[in-house]
Amino acid sequence: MYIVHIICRTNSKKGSNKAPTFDISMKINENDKKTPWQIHFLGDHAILFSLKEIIDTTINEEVHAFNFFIQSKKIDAFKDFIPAYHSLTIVYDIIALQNLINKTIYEFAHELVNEFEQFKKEQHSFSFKKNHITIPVCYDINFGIDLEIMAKEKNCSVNEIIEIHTSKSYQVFCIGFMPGFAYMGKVDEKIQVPRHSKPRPLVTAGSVGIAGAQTGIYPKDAPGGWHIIGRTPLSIFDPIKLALFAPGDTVSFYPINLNEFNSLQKELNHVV
Amino acid sequence: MSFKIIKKGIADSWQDAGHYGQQHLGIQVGGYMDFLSAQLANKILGNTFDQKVFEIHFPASIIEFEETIFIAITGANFIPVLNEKSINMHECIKVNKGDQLQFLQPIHGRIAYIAFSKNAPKEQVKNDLIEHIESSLFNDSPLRFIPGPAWNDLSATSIQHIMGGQFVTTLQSNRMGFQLEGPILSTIEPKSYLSSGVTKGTMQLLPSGKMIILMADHQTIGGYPNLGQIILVDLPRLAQMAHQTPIHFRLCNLSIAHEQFQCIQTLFTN
Repeated sequence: MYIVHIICRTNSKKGSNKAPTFDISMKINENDKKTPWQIHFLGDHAILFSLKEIIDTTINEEVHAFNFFIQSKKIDAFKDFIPAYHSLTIVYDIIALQNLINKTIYEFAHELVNEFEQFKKEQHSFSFKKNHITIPVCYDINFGIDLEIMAKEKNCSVNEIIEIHTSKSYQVFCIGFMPGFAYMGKVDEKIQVPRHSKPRPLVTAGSVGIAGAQTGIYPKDAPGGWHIIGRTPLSIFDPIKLALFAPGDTVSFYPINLNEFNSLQKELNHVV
Repeated sequence: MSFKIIKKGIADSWQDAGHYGQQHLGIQVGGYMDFLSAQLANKILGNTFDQKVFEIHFPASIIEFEETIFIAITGANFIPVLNEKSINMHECIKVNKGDQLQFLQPIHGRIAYIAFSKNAPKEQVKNDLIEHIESSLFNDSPLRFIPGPAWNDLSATSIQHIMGGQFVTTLQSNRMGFQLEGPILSTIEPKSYLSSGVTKGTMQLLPSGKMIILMADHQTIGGYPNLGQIILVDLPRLAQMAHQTPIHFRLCNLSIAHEQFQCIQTLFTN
């Protein structure tokens, strides 16, 4: 068993400069769910490191820790790091990497894994930085267009769904699908619903949705199949400030009413 | 690079080598589809490889230049014509203010590149390099790939199809990916895969049993089975395949792929 310290930075409002930091500790039980890292080559210019193929916060935490560890080594030949649920893909520059190492890339990749395991053993705990972000969400049924159907399906009230969705902190497993779209989880089983069998042609930017154990926010207007439960006035992605979330961040949601939504949206538009 | 577009072509774009470092935010790398032709166009003009090139498809734009500059055209041959007079590809060409460049018809290839420079190049590019690139772009040898994480999940028949069968390019081909028509492929048992990183050249198995090969504007992560990736030096050849071009595949290993890549980049730097 080893412990990962996570330094969290909260920013409840976009653009907020005050960023209190605090430490939380997370225990990762090595015997539980853990399998050794598998190494695959994605063609001639990327390496895929993967763990057990399940959506799991512990496994994903390990992915982000590994990502953080490798990035801290500042290997110039690595051009991109793509963490996902159970894997980390590293895109490398062929010539730069060949100049750097005097062994095979397979041996090199193995060494990175071994160094990481060794590092964890020696340090017992290590810190990596990630943000905790709180997101205001208006769960009005005009925004949360699937709330009533979900309440019927799950045999509970709309208020219970909101309560359950806002009651926990979610991990950003990875970002993909479109720029800035964060796959977060895990959603409480009581409010898990599958994707719509037929995606909507248009889901409005800021819409908060649920698909299985995952929750996410649409950064821009897009077609989508997730059950929509509310909308945030925050801008999740813009080409200059990039994404609000980074992989490994934690996120929690708090409810706001329609008036608060409108005034927050007005305020944010002025800031931008 | 001042010119105006007299008549707009389809899918013109300015491209460079792409932008790495933001895929963790879901931001794609982009960049030119055929790095060999794009690098060659810049090389002919004595430009550095980070200079943007104009990537064009057919029907291509008609361009009117607004100053005297030097251009080089590489990649697909669409019969370039300057003021009604045919001009050579793979050559530095001086154009004057008011000159009009147009392209008559596609002879071979799918994507052409135009590089630009204010100054004439100091030295000429060796014919060896041009010939080497031409011959590696336009031939019918198999596309080489390295098996991916889902390769072993394929049924034996599907593996035989990939190794010995014939696939063709379809109209479902764009900067994001090329969908192929061919024998229907399947995994041994139905299995769902968790999304993970993909890259240029990733061969994904679609639920329909067809294969799609990811190109420059691919998504950063994908959840379809990853059968393998085409090696980098063979991707420009795929990028240049017009509709209905037959494709065969051949297994390759990492050291050959790296050797080939290094070899071609050495040719460029010499």
